[in-house]
Amino acid sequence: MDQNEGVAALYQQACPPLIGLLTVLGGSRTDAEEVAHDAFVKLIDHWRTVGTYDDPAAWVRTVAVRLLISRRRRFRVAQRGLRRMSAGEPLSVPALGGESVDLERAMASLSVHHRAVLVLHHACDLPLDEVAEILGLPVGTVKSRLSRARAALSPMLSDLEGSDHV
Amino acid sequence: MSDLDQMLQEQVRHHTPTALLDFATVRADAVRRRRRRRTTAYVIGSAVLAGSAVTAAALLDGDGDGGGQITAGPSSSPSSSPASGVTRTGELRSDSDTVASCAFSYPDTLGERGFAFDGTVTAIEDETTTFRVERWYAGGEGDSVAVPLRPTEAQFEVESVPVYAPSYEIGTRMLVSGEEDQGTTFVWQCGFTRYWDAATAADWEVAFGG
Repeated sequence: MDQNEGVAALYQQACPPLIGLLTVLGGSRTDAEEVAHDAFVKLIDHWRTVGTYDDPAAWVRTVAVRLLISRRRRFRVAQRGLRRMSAGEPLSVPALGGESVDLERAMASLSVHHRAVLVLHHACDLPLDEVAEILGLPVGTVKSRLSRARAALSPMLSDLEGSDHV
Repeated sequence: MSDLDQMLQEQVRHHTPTALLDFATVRADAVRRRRRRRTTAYVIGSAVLAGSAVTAAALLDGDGDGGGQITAGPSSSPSSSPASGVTRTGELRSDSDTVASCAFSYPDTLGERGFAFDGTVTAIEDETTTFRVERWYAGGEGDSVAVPLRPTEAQFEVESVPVYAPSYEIGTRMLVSGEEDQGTTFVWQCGFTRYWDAATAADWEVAFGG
């Protein structure tokens, strides 16, 4: 299997859930698709190495998450540079019904950095040290961001105290 | 599994598409997007420079890689970066990387900056970075200073594998300069803030008449 075939096969399997993850993390389906696609295109150049990994999809996820955070940062900077608009960025995500609306609203109140920690740890079930590695942060920073993010969501969640994650 | 796990996983599933573009199309689109952003994405100024005497035209780095000048491996006079082990050299880039033009050129007008110091990062919180000051060249005093600055992500490669790291981190030593304007501190980019190395530090000493 050559590199294009290998990447294309992984793309078919791993891209849809990656787009879902990035949409929740970044709040924009359009950004999520572009970033996911860019990450898979990058994989072509690195397939010879990454293709030998046990989980090449994890490499793509790491690249994509970092790309998305970088893109969101630049978006904020560009906004401020042009208009000093530093207010919260509304999420452009079609919502689920019921309590998910509350969750998405609460998520929208968080920065992309806090959402990243929350989503990687709770939705991807990654341990904190792995989240720290993906985000290039000390574990202590990940813990504090997770704590802050969970506190922001706590009014709508009854079982945070009993969570066995942290 | 907690309620939060379940709710977030449900969110991810909800936003997971059931149909995909074919990969050949995705690849072609990505290449086209990258070319377009590299040639047209100009913005005026940056957050750090906005409001200062300087107006810069910054060219956004279109491919999402950040773009700080980061190199891996040994260097003759590197700025140490203990957290990641990455060795950084040269100019610090802002979030709106790849500054295309600046009103003042480095190093010609370096000595005219309102403040300048040699410092090691001790804390990074939101938009503010705190330095332990090793040496004030101009415009300040004391052992510590907090300035409006934050790291961005930058890419470098080790054995052809891309590795991403913050443009600086706790422990990174830098040469920082800028201006105060009506009580607000502006750290200057455009080469006026750089990773520390002994030769550049000596140049700064001369520039500020040390």
